Amino acid sequence: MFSFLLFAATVVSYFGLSLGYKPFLNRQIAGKEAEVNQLAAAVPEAEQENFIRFYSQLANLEKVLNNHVVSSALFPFLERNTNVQIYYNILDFSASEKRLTLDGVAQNYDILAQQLEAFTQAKEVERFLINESQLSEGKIRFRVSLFLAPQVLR
Amino acid sequence: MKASTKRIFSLLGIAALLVATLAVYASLIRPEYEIVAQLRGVLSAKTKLLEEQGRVIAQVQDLIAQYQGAAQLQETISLALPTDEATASIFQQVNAIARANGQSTQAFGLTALAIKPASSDAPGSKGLGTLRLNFRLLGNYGGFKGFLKALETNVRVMDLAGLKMEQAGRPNQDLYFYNLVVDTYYQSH
Repeated sequence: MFSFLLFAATVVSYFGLSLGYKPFLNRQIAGKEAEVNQLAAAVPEAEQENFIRFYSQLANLEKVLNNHVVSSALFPFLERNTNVQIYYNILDFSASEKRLTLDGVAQNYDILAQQLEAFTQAKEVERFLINESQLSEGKIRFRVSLFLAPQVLR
Repeated sequence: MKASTKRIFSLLGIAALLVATLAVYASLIRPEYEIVAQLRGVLSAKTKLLEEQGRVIAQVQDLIAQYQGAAQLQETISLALPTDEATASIFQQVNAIARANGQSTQAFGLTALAIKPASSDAPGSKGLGTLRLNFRLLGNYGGFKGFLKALETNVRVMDLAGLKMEQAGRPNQDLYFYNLVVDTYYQSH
């Protein structure tokens, strides 16, 4: 009797699984999928697109503003740090290299030395190179490259 | 039939039923149970996904509602970083700033640089396009300082990439040529 009951229970279990529980689970899964699809449609595509564009603009603008170059600081720096007996003929500036090359004229080498000392003291200048200097028509023509500290352009 | 023979048949019947039970279990129930276990796993994952999606959608709807209330902000941001090149307005803005500061535009050119990847990791995020302007101005020193100040505070973001300044008139004359390289930006499509 016991073995018959065991066999019957096994057969009933099989049919319960294959005809009852499995279709029930499949229906549940289909229902969840339908709900997920409904959720995705809850936000219209045009709104999603607009929102992503706006969000991208904010992220890109933050990046651009973090690297924004404040170039107008160059001239006050030069005015503060240029000897009155020196004038410049050419100014060449590269923001990516933070390099400012000046072609100038000094009254004599003493004045040029004072100018270079002023660049040495200036906190805006990380380092500088004197590319050339020569006596011409009684004055000193020179070219100097200044490498500026990053905060000068921020 | 003898009682012993009956018992033997009974034992054989029990053994046959046990064998049949094992056969049903091994060949039908076990494979079916494995399928059911998989389906339960799938259902659990779908339920979790649905809950997460529900939370995300609620947050997105909240954000979109806030964003729709910030239309003014979006307009301002689009002036600083347009969603297209808007090259005509660049020329107008630079020229207007130059004129307002007593500088005359001698030459103007524009090149599109490579688009930089999106700043955000969010899916669908747009890249950052750069337009490089090359132009030449003529004017006095004080006016040019005003031009640079106005350029760097212009509503459309512009960065000075390079500048070459040379004497344009006599040595003591306050008149210079300025060759400028300026970068401005837009959001790529």
